[in-house]
Amino acid sequence: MSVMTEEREALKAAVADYLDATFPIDKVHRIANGKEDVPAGEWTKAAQGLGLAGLVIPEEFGGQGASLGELGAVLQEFGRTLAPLPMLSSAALGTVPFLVCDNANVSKPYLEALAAGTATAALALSEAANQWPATINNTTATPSGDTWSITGSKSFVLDNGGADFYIVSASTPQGPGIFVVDAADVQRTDLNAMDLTRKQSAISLNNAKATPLAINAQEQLTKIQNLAATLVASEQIGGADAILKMMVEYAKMRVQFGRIIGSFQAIKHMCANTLVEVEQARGAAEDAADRAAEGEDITLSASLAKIACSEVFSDATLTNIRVHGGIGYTWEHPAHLYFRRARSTNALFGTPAQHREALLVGLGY
Amino acid sequence: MTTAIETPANLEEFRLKVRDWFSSNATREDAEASGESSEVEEGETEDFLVVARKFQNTLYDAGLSGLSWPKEYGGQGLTMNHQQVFNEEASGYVLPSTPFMVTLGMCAPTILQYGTEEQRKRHIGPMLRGDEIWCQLFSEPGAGSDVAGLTTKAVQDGDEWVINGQKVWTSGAHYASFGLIVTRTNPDVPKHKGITMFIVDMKAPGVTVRPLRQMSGASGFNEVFFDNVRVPATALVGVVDQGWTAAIGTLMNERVSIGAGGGGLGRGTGTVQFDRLAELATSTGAITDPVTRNELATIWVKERTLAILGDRMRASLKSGNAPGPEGSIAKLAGSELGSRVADMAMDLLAESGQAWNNDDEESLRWATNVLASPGGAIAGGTPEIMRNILGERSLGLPKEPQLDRDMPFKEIRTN
Repeated sequence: MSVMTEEREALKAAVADYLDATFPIDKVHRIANGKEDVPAGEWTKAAQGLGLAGLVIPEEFGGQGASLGELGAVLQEFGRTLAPLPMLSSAALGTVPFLVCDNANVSKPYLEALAAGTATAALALSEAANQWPATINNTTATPSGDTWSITGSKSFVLDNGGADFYIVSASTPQGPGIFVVDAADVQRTDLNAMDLTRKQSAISLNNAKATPLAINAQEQLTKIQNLAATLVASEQIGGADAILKMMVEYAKMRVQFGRIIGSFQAIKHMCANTLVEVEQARGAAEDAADRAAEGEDITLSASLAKIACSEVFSDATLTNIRVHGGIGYTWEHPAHLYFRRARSTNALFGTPAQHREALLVGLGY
Repeated sequence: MTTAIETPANLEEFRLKVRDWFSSNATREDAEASGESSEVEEGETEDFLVVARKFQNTLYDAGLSGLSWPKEYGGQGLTMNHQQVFNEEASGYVLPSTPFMVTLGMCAPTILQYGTEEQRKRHIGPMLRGDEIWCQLFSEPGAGSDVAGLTTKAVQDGDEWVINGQKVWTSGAHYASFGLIVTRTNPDVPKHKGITMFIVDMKAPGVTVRPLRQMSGASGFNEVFFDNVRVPATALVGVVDQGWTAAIGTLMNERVSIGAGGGGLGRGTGTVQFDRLAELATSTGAITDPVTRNELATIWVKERTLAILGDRMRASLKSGNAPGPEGSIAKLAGSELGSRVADMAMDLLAESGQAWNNDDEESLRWATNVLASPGGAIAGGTPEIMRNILGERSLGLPKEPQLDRDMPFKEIRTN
């Protein structure tokens, strides 16, 4: 069932064509194994060709001026293909804070570089595990003359192996602030990420020079985190949809006991249950992105989308491995790449359990 | 079957006419007490039937019944877009048309497609006007999920056919004037090839309707016995021994009609179930318990995703797409939610969910709810059959090998 506008469908299809041609799953697998690199300049090429890097950046800064609904649709395609480009990390999570803070004087050079695909950004809010929304524990920003300096640390940063600048939250004398810090001013350490298709890091800042995007910015921080959960959910539902197709394709082809295994109700019902969950979670993800695009308060919708998409993605990737049997849990088969992505994104930007509690609080209970 | 000329202007004029009619002839949903699922009782009482008939009569007299149906049979000869406009204007109003769902959603389209000219002229008008209520006599005690395994026999005797057997789960049989019945007319051929459909007068000698009481205590449907019931040859619908084609048509219409309007999707976008449970959890004090909170939030999530699915389905139909698998998805998800809600309520009520004082309406309501929930999942196709439909029709997975498909019916193992 599609309820997307023709325009959005066309954008999604163009991105799908590009990703299928550039990052077929065996290539993604080789890159994940370190046997091949992402082609040099690919992100800049994608930025210039399809306008992906600046998709939601206003046209005045060289972007496409598309809505968060379009961004969600594109992220579905990245989730489907696991393409190792910084679409989620930079064009979504690294870009949205600039839009939320709406501080054109400061943002202009950053947004122009992001839209051109010549620089990437990463969102660094989290400091410790098991905190949603992320709290600022020990990162402090101090004004010094015209600029600010930050000392502290952040973790679980999706930065695709190294961004050009980091969006960092820090406490200030006037409440929480949102800052931009150059990569040159942070010490970055690779984490051992379960998701082989996307690198994560911990960064530490020691009197790092910082440019303020917003001070006394609790409201903006909340907005950014709700958007982050929504955008991750969009990517997740694309992955879950790919996995549904993968399991169905295998169930239609594999023969055991003299029959196509998809004719066994046990297998058929596993696929049908996944379809039921995918269709519902897709609705939740697209609804949240569209509400965000309309400027609505998406506190509840974001949690709904993150819960539904996290759960279906994790369930589907497990079901897929079971439908495949032995081949499904080999290193060579791509099933585990999605399984890893599902478990990883399940934990990022709020686990389902954390979002359930947030929901009840948000509903007044 | 659409002959009218349709322009934006006359569609708009039609919209105003419909809007006007609804505002003076129907009750708004929000004017009614909200939240009570009347699934259990609807369509049972005499009063309800009187109200429904009157509503349908008025609708017909205003020229708003059978909008896209051909004029020569009593329809309005308008387009599907007129129907869409009608549906849009109808949303938000209480339509007491449950007794006509089988008649207009399943039986009338079958007569239109497979019936004789005489049958169409005789029945479709009165059906649209609400004068004739029909029932659908398909399921049997021995043929549930596998309806084509039916054993009710029809034997030709001169100009008549003689029917013997039993049907079951027949909604509305106790007030229907006609029924659409499928019978076994040839046991020497494979099961799908020896079935014939007839129109049967529910008041004919030999027809006995017995209400079936459900485990919840409600009586929504019946068992119907046929003891040497004679129907004329003119009651034949379609071709002898080829009734399965017509039966499939009827069932497809059911799916479309459930998909488009009901199946848990017809109601508002609120979170009625969650609200009631949260209230209950607050009153029992369980609202601070983490396990309760987790389950409550899960129910909110499931209720909202189902509502969003409904919105999307309506949007998709509105933009001209054919109905997809959403009807089956909604039925599966809806019945699962229903059971989960009932189970949670029972957990919250603990002892007072299983025994209560006369004045404890809350406990009575939840107890009724939990007793109705197994039926909610099975009526209209079990969850397993729904999953088969989704697996085979939506995902294109192959059917189970069928042991009985090419065997003469009389050699098949039956109940």
